[in-house]
Amino acid sequence: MNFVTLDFALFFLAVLCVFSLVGRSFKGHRYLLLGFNIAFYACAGVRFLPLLFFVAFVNWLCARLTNSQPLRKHGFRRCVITIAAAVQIFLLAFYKYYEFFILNTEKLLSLAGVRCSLIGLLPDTDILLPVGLSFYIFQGLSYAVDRYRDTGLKALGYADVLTFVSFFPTVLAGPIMRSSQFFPQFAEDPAPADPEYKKLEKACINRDIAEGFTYILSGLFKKVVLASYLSEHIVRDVFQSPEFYSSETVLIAMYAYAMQIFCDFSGYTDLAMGIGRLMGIQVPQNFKAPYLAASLQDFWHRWHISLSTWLRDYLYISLGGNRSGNKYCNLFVTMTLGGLWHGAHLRFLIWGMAHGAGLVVCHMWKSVWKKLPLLSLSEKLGNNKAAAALYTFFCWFLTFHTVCVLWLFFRADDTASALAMLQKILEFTAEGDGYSLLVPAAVLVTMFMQKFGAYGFDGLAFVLEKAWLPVKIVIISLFAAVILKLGPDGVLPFIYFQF
Amino acid sequence: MKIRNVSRKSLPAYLAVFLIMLLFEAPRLNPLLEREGAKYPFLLEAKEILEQIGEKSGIYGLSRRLHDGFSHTVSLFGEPVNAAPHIAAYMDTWRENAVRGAQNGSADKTAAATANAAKTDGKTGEALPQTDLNSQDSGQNSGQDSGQNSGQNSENPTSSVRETGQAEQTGVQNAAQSYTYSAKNYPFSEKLVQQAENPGGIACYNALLPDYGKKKTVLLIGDSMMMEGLGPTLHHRLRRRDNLDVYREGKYSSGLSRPDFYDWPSNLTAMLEKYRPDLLIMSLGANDTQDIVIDKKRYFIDTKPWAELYLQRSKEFIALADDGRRHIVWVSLPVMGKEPYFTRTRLISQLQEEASKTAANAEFVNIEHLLTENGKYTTFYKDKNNQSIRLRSQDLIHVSTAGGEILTDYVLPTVDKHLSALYAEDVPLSYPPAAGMASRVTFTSKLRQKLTEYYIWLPQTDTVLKEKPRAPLAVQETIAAQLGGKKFPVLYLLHGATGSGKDFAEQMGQKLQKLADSRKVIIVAPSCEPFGWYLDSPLIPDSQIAAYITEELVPHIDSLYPVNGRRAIAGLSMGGHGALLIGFKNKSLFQSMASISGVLDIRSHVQNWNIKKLLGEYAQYPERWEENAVQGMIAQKWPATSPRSIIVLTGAQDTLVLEENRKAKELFYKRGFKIDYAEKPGGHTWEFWNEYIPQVLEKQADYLNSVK
Repeated sequence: MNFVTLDFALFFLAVLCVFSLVGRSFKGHRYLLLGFNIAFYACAGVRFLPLLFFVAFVNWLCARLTNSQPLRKHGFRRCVITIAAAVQIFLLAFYKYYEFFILNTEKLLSLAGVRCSLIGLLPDTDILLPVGLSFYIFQGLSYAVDRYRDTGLKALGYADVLTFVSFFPTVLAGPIMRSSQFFPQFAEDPAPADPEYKKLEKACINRDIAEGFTYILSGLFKKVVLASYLSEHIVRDVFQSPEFYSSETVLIAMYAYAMQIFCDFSGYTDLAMGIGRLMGIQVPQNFKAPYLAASLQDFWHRWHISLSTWLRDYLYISLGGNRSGNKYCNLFVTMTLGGLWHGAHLRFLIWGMAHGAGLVVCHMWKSVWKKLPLLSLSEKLGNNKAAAALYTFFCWFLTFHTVCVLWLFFRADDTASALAMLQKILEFTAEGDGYSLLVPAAVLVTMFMQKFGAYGFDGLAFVLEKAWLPVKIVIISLFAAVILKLGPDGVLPFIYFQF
Repeated sequence: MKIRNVSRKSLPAYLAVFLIMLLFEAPRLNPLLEREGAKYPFLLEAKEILEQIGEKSGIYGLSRRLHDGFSHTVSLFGEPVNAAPHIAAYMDTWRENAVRGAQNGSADKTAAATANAAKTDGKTGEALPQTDLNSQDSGQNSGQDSGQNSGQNSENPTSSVRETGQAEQTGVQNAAQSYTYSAKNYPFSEKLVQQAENPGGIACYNALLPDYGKKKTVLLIGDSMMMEGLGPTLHHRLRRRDNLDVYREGKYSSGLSRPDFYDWPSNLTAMLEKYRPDLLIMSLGANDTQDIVIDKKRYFIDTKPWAELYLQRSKEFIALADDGRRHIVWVSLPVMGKEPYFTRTRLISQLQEEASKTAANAEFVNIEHLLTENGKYTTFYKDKNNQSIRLRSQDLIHVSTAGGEILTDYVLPTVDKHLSALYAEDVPLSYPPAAGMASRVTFTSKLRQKLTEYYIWLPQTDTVLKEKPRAPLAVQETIAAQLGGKKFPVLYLLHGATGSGKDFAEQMGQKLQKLADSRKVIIVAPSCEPFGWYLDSPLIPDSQIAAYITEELVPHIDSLYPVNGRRAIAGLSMGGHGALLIGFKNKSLFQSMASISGVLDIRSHVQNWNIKKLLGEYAQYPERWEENAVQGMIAQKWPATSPRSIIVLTGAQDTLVLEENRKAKELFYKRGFKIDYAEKPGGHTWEFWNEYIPQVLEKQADYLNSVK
């Protein structure tokens, strides 16, 4: 269920109503939430509901087994966690890659001279990728692995694990939460009767609501206005047939796609965060102005943070991290797998490998820079403000364009057309169709938002926090109306739903 | 708990946002509200009917009863089970009973019986007895058209899994009898399947796109079918043409059934204003497989009133675009992989086809037989390398890019036909290719996968056309009339490496025209790639020049111009090689062949002129080079006795090819060919060719005119 639909709006209204209606003494909020989670996921695809239950079950069982007292033998625990991870990775790989696998096996066999038709193995019905599978598998795995790594953590009941895994604001496309971020939010009030505590709680609630609405408005603006506009007015056409457009237009389209995917995904995240906050549940940040990053490392600390930290904590460190094995190799493998996670396609592989290689180069450059006898020079640079700014600008420019060019591979229909677009951009003077002037404006607005969006956000949140309820309602309605008015008829699905 | 407190506090403001959203989005963003709301009038109607037979029921209870009976799960679980027809059947029975009850004068009794029956149905999920359904066929203005599918009952081993499952689940035997969707009920006709085997025949056979018409505007509109698959590929191909402006406007999830979601008629009017297209190509209807609601009256899909209404809407829609001059190509929906879309889209296509007949210059292209295997829907197909390619996306509805290419191949000839008609309107009396001047004509080649051109000289006659030709179908007649109803031999003239057919128009256009006039022949100079070498490359799929000439160009010329079946082929340099090569390979096609400064043994130029790009390295594939070299051909293929004129002419100072020409002469003599061999003063230059090519062509023309 797309967040930007009336279906969802209605669903969420029901959620809020039910939660508001239950009495003060009611204790079953978690079960209520679980019910809503299941209903929400059922709307997305009732067929895959068993899968959700299964993933929660595997992780629940795994945590139980690795955590139970008499069985705490290292070998056994290791075995259990390996099986649990393998089962889930198999599930993920099956749903993401089965068609790719079958088609390519057939290709290889036919190359080897064996003529066979494996295509019959493909179901002719519409087996789609279960919505959000990779996100909730990651979320579930983090729960199990945390408990494996730290036996001090308590293994929870099945209902709780299921609630966590299927938490409806994040189940479809993240952010990937950790159990340590999720469960403490359901703790009992420490001192419900204390007036000081009540005052504090009231302030917290006000803040939650103000920020929640600000997130929702920001998410709507990014998704409904910016992402939709960029997609409809330049990105789709240019990526479909770049040969008709001038170099300049293709270049702008490249920037536009970078902005579109940011607006799309961070808009979605903002909505998820806002929805969580309106229920008092904090969902972690996924983006921190990624296009301002001055190095690829920095970029990955700002882009899809919940995935990159997940990959760092559970893949990179499991591979050996900085300590064992080759650090660079681990980094490269992690990023390559991160690329493939997006789907079985050469272009995702290229994208992941290129980012991996870029990160390796970044790391090497840093260690080389430290060892070079030029330390004094860099200090000098640090003292010279203009030179330092220039250096930073150069780093940013390089990073930004690396990221943008790699997005070409991410988005293009195939590698060849991505290369064709790149070639066209580098030709610099190729003639062709132009673009609407609003497109660069939208790109600039998005860049501007990276730099100054936080101020706007804080300002609006502050006003909403302090304002009297009717004023608050008027402000929110006004913003919502303007955003919806600016948006096109109908809203495209979120890009990240396919992953 | 925090979650409760926060939720309670955020509720008022959220309610405001929700209302705003409702205000803005309800009519267009999501059909949910409308869908739910629209149920009421029909429930009200049901209630009224029930009251007539003396049963009282609340709306909620009624809807529950109707829904439970048929597992009408609405769309809560993502897969809408459209139970509307079954419900309609229910209501018709009630109506029937109400009428019968009134007739019998014993309303109470019947009412009670029906009420009981209805209750039982509600519990067990079974439908009404069959007799009830059958008896209400006639005389009822019901929304149900049970006659439509009757007789096609449940013996459907081929019916889709989902459909069967649904039937079992609901256990609606009788209703299922009226509404069984299956491939068997709607078989693909044999004719359609046959067409699919040879879609399009020779590509764009009748496409005649002279570029001296004014620039035309084409607008592609439609729903997701125009946004994915067919739309992008067709758009892409048309956009590659110089003399066209192509635009595409589409809207996902839209159609003619739901103007409240997206008002196609008014949007179409706006688009026509904006682009003023000469040709409108449209494809829509994939989202129309749903009930239509007008003024709270619901027209159920699969019923006659719905079909009538849809036909009406289609007619109105096409009438908006039809100004008497604009051409319209309406492309049907592709075959769908699941029910009920499969059956319903076929009905929609029929209705659209009927509607398109009402417009002046409209044509309906049915593509339902494409993207099928053995007449059935297929998601994958195997290409030449036995590799499976995905034609449809995973929803079994949308078309992939590969599928779009296939559809475009099929649709393009029709589009071209209409475009040529449009161009023809601009062109003065001399259109098509006029006698007395060199004309450039283009047509799309399937083998070379592009728009190809040739230059043509037609003999001048005294005939003067009185009327401007009107449609492309009349092209042949027009040319024939222009040429005085006579038939002529054709001389094919092949250009050299790096050149094109244009060379002849520029270098010796006047001379060739004179030749055409005096000898009464048609001269055709095709452009066959700067380094095409007049052979079928095993390496480059769209470099199949020999096949292009014999399988596409010659039939094209034969079909369009008044020819008498005698042909000669000649060429210079690379074209000399081509003339002899193609002449030798196609015994019956050309009665005369001539090489002027021809490259008669490509094996002596293994590193030159990109030949190895077409054939591969000589060292690696000597047999390929052998069979594509003229000397190789002479050495093995042809019996010397064929009555055939062969002319080989070369410049005495032509250092490039003199040696191989002499060798070829020896070889010809050795094999017993009678050839007309000459070495004239001159080199590998246009000076030489300007002087001697007309002479050679004259000889060929005389030869063709002399043989009987």
